Amino acid sequence: MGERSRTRWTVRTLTVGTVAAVVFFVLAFVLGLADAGASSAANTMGVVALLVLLATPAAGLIVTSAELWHIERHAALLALVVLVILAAATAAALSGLH
Amino acid sequence: MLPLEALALLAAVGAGAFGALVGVGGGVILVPLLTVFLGVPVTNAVAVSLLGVIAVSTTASASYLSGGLVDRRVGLTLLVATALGGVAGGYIAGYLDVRVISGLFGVVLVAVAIQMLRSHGRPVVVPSGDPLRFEFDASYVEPTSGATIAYRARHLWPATFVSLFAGALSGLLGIGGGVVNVPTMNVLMGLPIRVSTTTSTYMLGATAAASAVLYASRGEVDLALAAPVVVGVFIGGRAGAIFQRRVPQHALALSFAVIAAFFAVQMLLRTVNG
Repeated sequence: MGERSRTRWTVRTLTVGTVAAVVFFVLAFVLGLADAGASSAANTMGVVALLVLLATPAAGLIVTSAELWHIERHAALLALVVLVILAAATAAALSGLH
Repeated sequence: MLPLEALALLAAVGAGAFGALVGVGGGVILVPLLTVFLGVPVTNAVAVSLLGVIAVSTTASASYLSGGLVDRRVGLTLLVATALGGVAGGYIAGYLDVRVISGLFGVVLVAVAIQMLRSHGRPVVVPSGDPLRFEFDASYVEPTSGATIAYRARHLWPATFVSLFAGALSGLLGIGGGVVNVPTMNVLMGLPIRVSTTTSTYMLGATAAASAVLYASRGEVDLALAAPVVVGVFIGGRAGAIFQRRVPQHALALSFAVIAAFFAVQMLLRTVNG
C-alpha cells in the first residue's frame, strides 16, 4: 500500500477541518463588518469556526489511528494515547484542577 | 477592512509560510508582531497565535502527508512524550526558577544552532542497525532531486526523554515545541532535516490545540482578530508547504539555525532580565 493511500483520510480530515474553519471565520468577519445588527450572528459563526479549528487536530489523530490500525498497530495505539493525554489534560484544566 | 485586521492578515501570511517551512508553527513570529507592532495584549496575542499554529500545522501537514514527507511513527512516539511533558510542565511551573531553565535552554539552543550549521542538516549515516534497540527504518523521496533517501531513526529513548523535557519547557516557558522537536529529530535521531521539519509541523497542531482550549475557556480568544490570523496562516501555510519542497536541505538547516539562535537570545535575555 502506498504512502498516499495510507494517509488519504487523515489528509482529507485535516483539509476539510481547516477549510471549514477558515470559511466560518471569513463569514464571521464579513458579518461583523456588515452592520451592528449582525454582530450576534457573527459571534456565533466565530465560535463555530473556533470549535471546528480546535477539533481538527484531534479528529486527525482519530482518523490516523483508524488508518494505521491494520498496518502499524503500534503507531495507531500511540495516536490514541496522545488523544487520551490531551483529552485528560484539557478536562482537568477546564475543571480547575490545574 | 480595518487597519489592525489587515496588518494581522499580512503578518499571518508571512508567519504561516515561514512556520510551515522550518517546522516551528509560526508563533515565534506572530506573537512579537501582534504585540510589539500592532499593540495587541500579550494574552490575546498568544491565544490567537496558538490558533494560527493549529492552522499552519493542519494545512501544511495535509500537504506533507500527501507527499510522504512525515514520519508518523517518530512523530506520534515523540508526541506522547511532549504531551506528557507539557502537562507536567504546567503543574510544576510554580515550583521552579524559570530563569535558570531559560538560561540552560538558551545555552543548549546555541549548541544546537552551531551543530545544525556544521552538519548542514545532514543526518549521520548509520550503515547497520542494532535489532535489539528500538529503531525505525524509513525512507522518503527527496522532492528537490527525486532520489529515495533511506534513514534510520536512532536513539529513540534519549529522544523521547528530550521530548518529555521539551514538553515541560513548553508548559513552563510558553515556547513552541518545534524549536526543540526539529533538532531532536535531526541532530539526535538522525532524521533528514526535511523529514524533521515536516514531522514537527505534523506534531504541533495537537499540542497547540490543548493549550488553545484553555485560552478559549477563559474567554481570551479575540474572534475579530482570530479571523484574519487564521485566514492569513492558512494562505501562508499552504504557500510554505509548496515552497518547502523546492528548498534544498542545507537552506532549511540554515533557516532553522537562525530561528534557534533567535530563540537562544530570547531565552538568555529572559535569564538576565528576570
